[in-house]
Amino acid sequence: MARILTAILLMWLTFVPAQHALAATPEQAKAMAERAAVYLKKYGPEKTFAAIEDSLGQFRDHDLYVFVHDTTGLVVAHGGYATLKGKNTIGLTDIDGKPFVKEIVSIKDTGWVNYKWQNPVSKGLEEKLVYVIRVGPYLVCSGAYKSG
Amino acid sequence: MRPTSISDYMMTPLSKISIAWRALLPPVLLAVVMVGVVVLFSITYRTIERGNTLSMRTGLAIEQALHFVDELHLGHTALYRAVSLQSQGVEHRIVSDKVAAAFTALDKAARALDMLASIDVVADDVPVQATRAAFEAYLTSAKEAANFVETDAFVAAMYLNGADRKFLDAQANASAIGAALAARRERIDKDAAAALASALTRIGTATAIGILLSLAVATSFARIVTAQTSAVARIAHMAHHDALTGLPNRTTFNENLVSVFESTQVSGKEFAVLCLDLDRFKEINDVFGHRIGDVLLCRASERLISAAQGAFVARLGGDEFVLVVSEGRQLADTEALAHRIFTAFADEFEIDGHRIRTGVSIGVAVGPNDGTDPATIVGNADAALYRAKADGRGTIRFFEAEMDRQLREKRALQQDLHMAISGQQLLLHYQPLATIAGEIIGFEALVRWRHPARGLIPPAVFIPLAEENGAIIAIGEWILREACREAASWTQKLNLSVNLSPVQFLQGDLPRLVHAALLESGLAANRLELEVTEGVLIGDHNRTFSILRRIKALGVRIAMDDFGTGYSSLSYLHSFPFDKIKIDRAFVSDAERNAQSAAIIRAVLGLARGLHLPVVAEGVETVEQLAFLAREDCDEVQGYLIGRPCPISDYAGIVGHGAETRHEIAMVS
Repeated sequence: MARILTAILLMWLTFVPAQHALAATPEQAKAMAERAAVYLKKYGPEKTFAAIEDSLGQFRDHDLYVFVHDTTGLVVAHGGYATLKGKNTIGLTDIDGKPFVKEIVSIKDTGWVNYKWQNPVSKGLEEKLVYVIRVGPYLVCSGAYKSG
Repeated sequence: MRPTSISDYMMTPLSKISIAWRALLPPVLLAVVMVGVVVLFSITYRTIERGNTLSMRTGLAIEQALHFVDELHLGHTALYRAVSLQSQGVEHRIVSDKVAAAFTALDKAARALDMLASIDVVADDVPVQATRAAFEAYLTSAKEAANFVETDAFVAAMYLNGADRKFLDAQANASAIGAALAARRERIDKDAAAALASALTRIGTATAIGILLSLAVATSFARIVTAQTSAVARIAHMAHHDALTGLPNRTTFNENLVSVFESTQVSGKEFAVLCLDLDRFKEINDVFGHRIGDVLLCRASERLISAAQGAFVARLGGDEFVLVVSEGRQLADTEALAHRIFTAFADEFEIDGHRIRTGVSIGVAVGPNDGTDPATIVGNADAALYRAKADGRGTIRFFEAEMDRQLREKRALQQDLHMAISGQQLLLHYQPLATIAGEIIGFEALVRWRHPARGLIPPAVFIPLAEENGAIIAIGEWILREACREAASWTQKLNLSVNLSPVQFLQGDLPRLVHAALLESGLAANRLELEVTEGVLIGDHNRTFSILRRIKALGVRIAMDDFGTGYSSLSYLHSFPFDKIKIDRAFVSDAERNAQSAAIIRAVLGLARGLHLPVVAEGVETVEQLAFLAREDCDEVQGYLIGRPCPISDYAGIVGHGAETRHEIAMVS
């Protein structure tokens, strides 16, 4: 079954043209996350989440975006996948079965979490390095796709 | 063990019961075994049924497990399809239909799992709980995926991807359920098969036992039938055989004789009938008792059968045996047979430590010459036997016409004897007794029978006949009364001697008769002397001595007659105070020629002197004998030398005119 899924995904991804020109680096992602964390501390969740979800806002840059989990795994804000907002993704795993949400919520301060996810720009399934910063009950995340 | 009584041939009630039990036991056992077989059948049926039920339920559970896997697979695939369709941008409705179909399938999977869990065969070894846990985890992921199918195919796909492992986990668990159940069903089936096999074995065993018991029933019935048949055969045997010796009995002998007689009438061949009895058997019985007597008869029978060498042997009763020889040359073969029998009886019998010697006497009649019918032939053989015994026992005698004539004469005489008293054919002769010096001191009364056709018959001939048919009682009574009456009429008070027969001691009241005779005649008791032979003393000594004492108490003297011919037992002389001993004439007549006879006379005389008994010597016929007796100091003598037995009228001068007068009157009248 996993192979079937992989085949579907690969077929699906093959038809999507790769766009690597403006791919962000992990450092950039880290900086984005740090900015968002500062913002959160400064303006509170409500304003911060709205800013994150603003597709034209300061927390969006090509394939770079910010998303926030609470400690239970609930997605409280998502800059890339709006449909995930309000959903608890604690059970979500990546294509290899890695329970990356659990890894994210388990971070006490800051840390890196690595998993495979779809690049919203290239639509490709790529390896992603996410920097996580804990701010009170929230985990502020931003990651860079490692394509090419 | 030879059967000794009729009861040995009959089934006793006890043996009937035991036979009934023996007969009843196999059917009862058979019934028990039948019931056992039925029970086993029902147990087996139930075992098989339970096995079937278990197997069936296990099968059902396996079916549910498979159903679960199928539905799970169906649902999972449908979800993937939905994600795929969504990503391809197909119509929203089609995707949502697919998602609905997926969850319908997953619902069915859930129900299958519930049903599987509810089946009682599902035990701890079946991983239902693990399957359920895996399935529920899968379902969570599947629902997450479904949540995103329509909004974000990638997230849905990721959820489905995560669900994938849980799907595989649930599927693996379901497979484990199937495997466990299959193993269980196999075990159940195997157990059921084993149970069936063992039940069949038991049923087979029980059936085999049943068959054996049926055979036992049949056998026992057969045994009863056999037992009854053999009982019938034994009763038949009993009817034809002597209970004591097992020899054919009189009935069988008669049948045999008739058939032999008839067959020889056709063939013209001769056949011999041998009548046989044991010498002095009655005395043996008296001395040793009937039990020993019976054993002797059995042993004698065995010797006879052995000596007979196939000739027919039967026991007619008592010590009477009979043999029939229907083969071979009659005279020579019969003599050879008789010789074998005499040889067989030459050895003593040893019974309970007693050594008993008995000879046999044999009388033979040869058919068809010696008789025109079987009964006559047997009668003639019997006559020959009588003759053999009369001739001194231990011998064989063939029937002769003369013998037959004598026998018939004897029977005729016995018939006539009954008429002798009433016909006044009996008379008394008197023979004098004298002292050794020649002085007549008394007379012995001797009976004579003047037969109307045959003339004077000597007592040696008719007294045994009278003793045989009981006429001696009346004759003895007549003699005593007549002699007493005669002696009482004598003017010379001489002694009177009267002989008593042993038979008189067995019947009637002898002392009373003696007393009556003395009273009626007026004869002084001390003039009467009663002579008894040793034959009187054989048998019940005590009774005889008691009778003799009562007679002696009347004042009558008792003399022991014919001493020396029988047992001559000193114990008799010691047990009873006889007044006189009379030495038998045989010794006296032999005394001059035979030193042994002389010695016996001397011994008896010596003995009598020791006991202070007077001795009378009988049969003194010569002066030499008288001289010998005188030398030996004998007290009294009797014999032709002194005087023959004569009518009392011949001795009228001695006894006195009383008798003479009566005699004269008789002569005149």
